[in-house]
Amino acid sequence: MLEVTLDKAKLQELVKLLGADRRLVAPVADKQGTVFSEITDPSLVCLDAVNTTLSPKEVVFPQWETLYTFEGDRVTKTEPQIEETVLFGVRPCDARAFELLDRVFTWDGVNDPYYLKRREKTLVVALACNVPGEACFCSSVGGSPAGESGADVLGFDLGDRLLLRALTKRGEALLKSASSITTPATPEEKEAAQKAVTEAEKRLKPVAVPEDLEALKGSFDAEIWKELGLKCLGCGVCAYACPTCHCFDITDETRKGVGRRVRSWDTCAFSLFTLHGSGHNPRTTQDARYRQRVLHKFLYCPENFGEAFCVGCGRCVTNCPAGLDLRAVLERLASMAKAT
Amino acid sequence: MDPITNPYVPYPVRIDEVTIENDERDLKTFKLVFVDSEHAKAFDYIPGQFAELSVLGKGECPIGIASSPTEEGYLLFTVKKTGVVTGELHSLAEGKIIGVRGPLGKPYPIERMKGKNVVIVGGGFAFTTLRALTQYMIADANRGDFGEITVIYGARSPGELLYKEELKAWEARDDLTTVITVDKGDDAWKGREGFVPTILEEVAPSSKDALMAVCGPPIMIKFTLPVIDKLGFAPSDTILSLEMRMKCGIGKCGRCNIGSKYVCKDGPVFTLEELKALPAEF
Amino acid sequence: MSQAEDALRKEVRKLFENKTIDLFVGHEAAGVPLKTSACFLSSADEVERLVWNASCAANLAVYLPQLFKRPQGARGEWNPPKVGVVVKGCDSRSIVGLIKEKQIPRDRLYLIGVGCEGMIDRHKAAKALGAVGLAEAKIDGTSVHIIGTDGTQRSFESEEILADSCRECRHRSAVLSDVVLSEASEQPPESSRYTDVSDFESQSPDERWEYLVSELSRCIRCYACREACPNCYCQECFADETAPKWLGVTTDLSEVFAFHLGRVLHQAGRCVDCGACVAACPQGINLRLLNQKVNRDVEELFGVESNLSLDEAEALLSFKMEDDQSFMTEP
Repeated sequence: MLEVTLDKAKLQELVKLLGADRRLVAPVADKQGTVFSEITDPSLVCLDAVNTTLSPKEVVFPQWETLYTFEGDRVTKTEPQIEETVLFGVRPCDARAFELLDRVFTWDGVNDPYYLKRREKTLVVALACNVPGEACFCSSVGGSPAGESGADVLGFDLGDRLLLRALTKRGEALLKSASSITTPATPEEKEAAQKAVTEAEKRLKPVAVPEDLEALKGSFDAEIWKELGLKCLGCGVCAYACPTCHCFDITDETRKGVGRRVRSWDTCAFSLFTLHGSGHNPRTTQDARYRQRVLHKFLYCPENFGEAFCVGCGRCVTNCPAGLDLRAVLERLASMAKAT
Repeated sequence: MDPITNPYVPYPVRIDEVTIENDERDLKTFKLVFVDSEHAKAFDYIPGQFAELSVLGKGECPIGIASSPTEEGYLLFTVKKTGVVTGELHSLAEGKIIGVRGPLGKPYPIERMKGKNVVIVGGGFAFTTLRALTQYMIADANRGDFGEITVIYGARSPGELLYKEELKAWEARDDLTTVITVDKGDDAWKGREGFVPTILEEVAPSSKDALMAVCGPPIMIKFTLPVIDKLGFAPSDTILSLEMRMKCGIGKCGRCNIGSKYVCKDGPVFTLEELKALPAEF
Repeated sequence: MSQAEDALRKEVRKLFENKTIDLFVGHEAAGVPLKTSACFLSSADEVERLVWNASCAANLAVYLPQLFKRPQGARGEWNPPKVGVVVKGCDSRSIVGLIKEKQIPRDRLYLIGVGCEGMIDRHKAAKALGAVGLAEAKIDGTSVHIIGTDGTQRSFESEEILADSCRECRHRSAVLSDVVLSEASEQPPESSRYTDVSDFESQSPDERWEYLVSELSRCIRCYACREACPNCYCQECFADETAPKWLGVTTDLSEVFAFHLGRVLHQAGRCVDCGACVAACPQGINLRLLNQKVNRDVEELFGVESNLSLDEAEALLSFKMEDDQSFMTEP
């Protein structure tokens, strides 16, 4: 596939070109860190951080969206307005997460039109990592600092240049449209990109991830959940920051008979998540809720989709106000499995 | 995006009739008719499935379909007044339009039941989808597919029994055995008295070439399962239907799982064998 | 290991050995630099897990109410445990509040008071380092040495990266304790208090609105602020109620304002400015500002600073004949 290089000095030009007739979403420096934002000014793009505070899943699965509007007892509108979007500067972990989310939103042939429309209209330009983030462990969960799943283009930071590799036909068309400011990649440049990847992979600290599903099933009643349940505050930060968490709520909002049915992010960590109308709650303790989160990602999703729903971005670790560390939990579960 | 292609949009239905099922008046059966005949055609369901009833402005609630597809032209849902959505539903009069999303979930294993004897055990207002199953099996076109049919149904008191008219009709038939019981009768009650598990043990239907479908409140299930076991029904031949807090009903929102199974799409019907393989989190 | 940390571990060991406590709640190192996690120790063997340094920012009071709730399925007699906690000034004030509001029993608590010189805001440290993450950090007295994930090294005085709430804090020693291991060495002057609020108040209404919008529009309704706050222990928060439905779930500005303003009002006279909400917020929203504004209002109107003493009723949960009524308008 097509590989070209871009002088870093021309980065803003590239971004401008990509965003010419599309909505542009890229990492931007914010008060506390870097966040994915919709921008029109290419000079705001900030690629300094290894990763953003929250994942870019917002682009295909927003914090909230209107499913449809209604008036009285009639549904009035179901068509969401979605623009062509280019998502620039995504790390390979986040790009891979899109492929995982695809599985849920098309599961069993039931297609989620809202997610799929956004996904279809979003071009993903990813950027490989030369340096791991604070709590990164992508290579321990089947990913890589230069992973190619979920992206249309993958970029490599070679210092003064970027090497851009087309991964899909859409990606190729995108790169071709930038031919005026790029040059074909040389063998040396391709080698430099490969070297950067190898170096980055070396710097990742491996995490033992429990892969024996039967053993993991056996951990359901283990003491570890009690301890973690005490620490976990039951806030939604980990799930909201996570690129693969996809639980949502559906609620109605009305004013004088006119309203909308919206879906919004929700999380199994919240205490009211599974509360029945009768008052019964299958998960009354934080132990049970924290366990649900971990087992869903590392046991139930592998059972249903063949893959763990974790891309190792580490956001749950860096953002957790209670200082919980998923990597430590996984290591303990893995060693518990070995012991059985 | 219309309801046929968008799984989040409900089909509009008109409330054709409302029947108050119990003395406490917190159980109502709604007879719903599709506004659009195309939608009626698309809503092709099998007993055991459920639908999300939608009240625009309040929300949705998952309710088992109480009618059988052999009862053409309408859907029946029996709803207990519990919270915001069901509360609003209970206040609606005949003629009002609400929404229905479905059919959802895995139905009763009808194909497996063909050629077999079927024992149906229900308690309280969990009897809804068992009504659907019974009506389906005894319909003229279907009766010949099934062996002996035994229905055991109980409620706390005579006033709490659902579907009183259907129960009378079933008792009058000779192609099924109907045993109705109440925990405690009243002066007018001439039928059996006793908890469902006790009556089941008394009736003692044979487990040979038979499948058992049981549905009821947790306390009834707790005491009925040992009896079912004693009678010799294998866990793979014991069929239950679960309830869970739901929102999307289509396996996307992540709310209703027990282990790796979602009650909305891998259930609500499960065999006891399948349930035993799931974590004890319901 | 510092002297303070050593003294703490010794004290906790003694408490277990004398059977004064069944459980100890303290801080232990978390998996990333400059972060700690609450730990729940049940024996003297575990005391080596305890740490005490300038990254022990968490308010441990938030973890206490759950320890005194009867466990599900517990039959017959159940005695709540005797729980030891290491407390800074703010932790102890939150505990005073929880005792007064009957969420935790005073007679089952053993509080170890330690003086606090202020806690590090790790977001400030990360930002100061550039956008790279923190790979390693070492707190050495009042200095912090940090290595970024890209290898860059920098040293700071902890003062430079102190949490905002710590800058103004005048209650750096425990206000309630059973034993005091150390007192804070100094205290900022009176004039340092409420500087943010004064600055804010000096702006025009339009400027203030703009500021609040720019801050709150970043809210994603994750409720980390609420869950990290010891005062937010309601089983069903007003924001989650469906009957009646006070507010919606979206990030529409009106909903976000409704949530935060509601929470601020619920905190009036109770918030101790521990900074847990600010530290928990992934979006860096200045949540303290309005809480501090209301706290100052309560002080000025009712002469009470939140939860300094078990003997003083919370301002908005009590009434005195001489209470200021100047804010009441004619009907």
